[in-house]
Amino acid sequence: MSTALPLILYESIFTDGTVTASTTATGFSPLNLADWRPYTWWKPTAMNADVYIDAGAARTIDYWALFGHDLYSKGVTNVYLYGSSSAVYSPQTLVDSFVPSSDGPVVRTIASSGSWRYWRITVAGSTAPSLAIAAVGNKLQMPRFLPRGFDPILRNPVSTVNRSQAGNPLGRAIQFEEWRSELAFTRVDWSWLRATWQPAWRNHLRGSPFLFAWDVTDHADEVYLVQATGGYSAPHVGGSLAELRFEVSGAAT
Amino acid sequence: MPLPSTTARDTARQAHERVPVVVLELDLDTCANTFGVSPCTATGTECYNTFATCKDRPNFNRSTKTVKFCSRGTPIPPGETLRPYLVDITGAVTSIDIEKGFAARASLTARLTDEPDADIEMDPYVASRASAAQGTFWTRLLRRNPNYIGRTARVRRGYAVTPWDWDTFQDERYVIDRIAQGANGEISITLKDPTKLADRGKIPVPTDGKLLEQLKGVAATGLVQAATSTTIQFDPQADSNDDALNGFEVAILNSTGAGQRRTISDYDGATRTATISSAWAVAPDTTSTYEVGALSLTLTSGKGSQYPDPASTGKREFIRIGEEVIEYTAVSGDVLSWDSGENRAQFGTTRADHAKGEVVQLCRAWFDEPVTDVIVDLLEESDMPSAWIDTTGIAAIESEWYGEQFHVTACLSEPESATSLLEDLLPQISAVLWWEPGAQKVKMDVLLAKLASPPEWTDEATLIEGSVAVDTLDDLRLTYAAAFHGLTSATANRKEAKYYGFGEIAIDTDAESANEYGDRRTQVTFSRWFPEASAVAMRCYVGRLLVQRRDAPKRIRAQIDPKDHELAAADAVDVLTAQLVDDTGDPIATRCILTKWDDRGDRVNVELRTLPAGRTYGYIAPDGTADHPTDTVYAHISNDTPTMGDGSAPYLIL
Repeated sequence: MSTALPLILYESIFTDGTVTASTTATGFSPLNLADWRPYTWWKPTAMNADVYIDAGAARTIDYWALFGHDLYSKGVTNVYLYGSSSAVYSPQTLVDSFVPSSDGPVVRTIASSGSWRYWRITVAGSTAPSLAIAAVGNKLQMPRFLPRGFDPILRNPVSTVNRSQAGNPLGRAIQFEEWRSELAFTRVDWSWLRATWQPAWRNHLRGSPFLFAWDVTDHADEVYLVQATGGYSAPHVGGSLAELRFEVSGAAT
Repeated sequence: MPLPSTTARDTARQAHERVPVVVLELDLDTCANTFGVSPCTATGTECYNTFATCKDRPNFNRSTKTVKFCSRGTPIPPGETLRPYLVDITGAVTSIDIEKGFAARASLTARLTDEPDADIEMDPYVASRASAAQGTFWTRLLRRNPNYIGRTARVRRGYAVTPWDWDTFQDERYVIDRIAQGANGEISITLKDPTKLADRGKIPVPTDGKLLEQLKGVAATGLVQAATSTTIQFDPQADSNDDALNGFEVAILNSTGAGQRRTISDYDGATRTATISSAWAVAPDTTSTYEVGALSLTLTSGKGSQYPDPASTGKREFIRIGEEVIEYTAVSGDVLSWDSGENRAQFGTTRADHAKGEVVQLCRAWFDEPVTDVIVDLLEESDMPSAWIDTTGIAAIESEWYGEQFHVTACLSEPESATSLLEDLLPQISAVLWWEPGAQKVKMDVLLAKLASPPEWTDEATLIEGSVAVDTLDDLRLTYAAAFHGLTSATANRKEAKYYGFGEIAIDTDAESANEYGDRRTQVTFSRWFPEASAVAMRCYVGRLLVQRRDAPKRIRAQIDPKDHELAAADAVDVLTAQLVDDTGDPIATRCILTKWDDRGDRVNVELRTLPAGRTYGYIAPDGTADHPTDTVYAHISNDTPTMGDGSAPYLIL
């Protein structure tokens, strides 16, 4: 069962900062890491490889995430996140690191990052991988757990089933599998909705993709890149509380 | 010839569960230079490395940038920039038209979505722009690349497997014909196959040279007044100007010295006496008649370059002026010349006077050429690259189906599209021509019979439920076929039988009888391609028409599962379905050819045509072949019942 509150990950220094890289293959700019598109890539030409982000001013972060990559397949040994006050990363502080264990989404929460203007992701290994989305920033932690009925592993194949004139099975063509869910958070404080939710919605969530991690502690691989399919509703439920509802969908990975 | 495939593709295609993927690749122009870096001399705000945005066009260094799109939901492999904008691709890849011979140009429509993309892929200088890109991916692309028409596009149909494997994909090549922006932001891209080039190419090439001076049919004629071994004195009516006939040819038409032709090296107008370039073998006398004609014409200034020099092309070259066709043998500047007066009035035309200013149109002629060579010529001369033509396959067709009887002697004296020429010629040789996107070549076949045992498509295992529909194409039925050949003049109205020297007719009186169809269905063909010597070919042609269409062919529309999508257009298949039965009502295997397919990823829409029903085909048996039915590979002559010895239907002679 879930032990961590759901996270929405969208706020990122990649979006507002200046992104460069140690090396870049032609057509695989590091700027692609910031565009929330799982089909545009950064690819270095030499290993180890670094992505540099100048956040413009010192700041803290509490998560970093990678979505769409082949770090494990390419034998990457370690991925490091450093912070620094120096544009040349000397000195620098190791904020977090991990060893890739799959090509699935990676979400890492940070308890205490320190405040840094310059951030650096280092990918260590011998074969250049490809990365689609990277985000480093502050998470939007939902204030309530998801209610009964939430289905994190639902799969809805968009497909055609073929059967012969005589009724024999011929095959099934699957276009893709969708994960779609209505996310409902009961008894959410109005002040949180106004101070936190509404700006997030306006700034990013209503029109751009974001990562949704329903339980980053126990089910870290069940992270979806989703979009809101419509609006949200927050009917009043009494006192200072409301019920927040909105629907999201994305391709199941 | 089945569709090209790989083990990886077959494995993915034949799995019960499969994830079909379509990738669309567009090859757009881009500049290989870097803005402001030598040789680019541009300054100021950076361009977008396209010609339309170029600030130093003399140094534009044309290269190719491939933009890739994939179906929505495609599990995009790391490192592949595939924009999931593709909603669908519809339209038949190939649609063979047996009656026209030349397949309908494959026309595919790709629908794509748009988005306010960050421009990172398309703008090489995005990092240094003062402000972020505005607009959307497609609006910017179309603005920067207005010259996309005719650029190459590839449709790659395959399957998503883990790990990603491009070997599951089959590539089809097209050209971009049109990109339209829909009202809702949707983009519609029309792709055509490269045979569209044949719609644009004209044969012969239109020329606009005109006669600088009058060209007379005969400059002078009459009785010889006197002659020596190197001179001839003309009639007093001949031109009185000195040198007026220099370079002309004098021919002795009859009586003494008849048949000799000499070029005039000097002409004395006062005495009407011509000195000839080489002595007469037999000097003409006063009983001889002569004829003088020009051996060259001069075109309006600067037009000579439009007319190929036979010395360079290695083939005979012809021009049409008015209703006359002339063979010229040399080009020098704007002067076209010929060796002999006999070069006038070619291909049954008449020597005539031509006024100053008349248009001189280049012709295209073939003499006793194998018909498949002519087809290849028509394709190549419509700008189809040779590498895109299946010359090996076409040579095999020549060897299997044609021979000297099918040699072409013809002169095209007016520009026509290669398409209309091919659609005129191909049905006369019972052939079809089409673009095979998988092989990426123009293919040719004769769809009269398929001898090899084809695969079987059945209700049990192949045909998708509820998808099979059978039409009877009664409009195509024929009982009477006539073909006229041996066009008497290359400039005559070729739609009138009176201008043809020969005709062949086949009639199926049984089919016309009251017990059968009780009507006459006629097709008349006028063949400008085949001369008198092709009588047997024309008899074959009209006979084959009736064999093919005595009974109405059937068209079958169906859907098949991708696991069975192995056949290319023009391949044969035996269809066994409850909609096609024998007299007892049992499904009967019906041999068909695949005329059309449209791969939708989840299903493949197919269209088939029946081959002449209920008949048996075979090659004529060589010496020493065992008798029927011991041997059933070859065709054997039936007895006079008429059935084969075992009571089966006789073989059909095609």
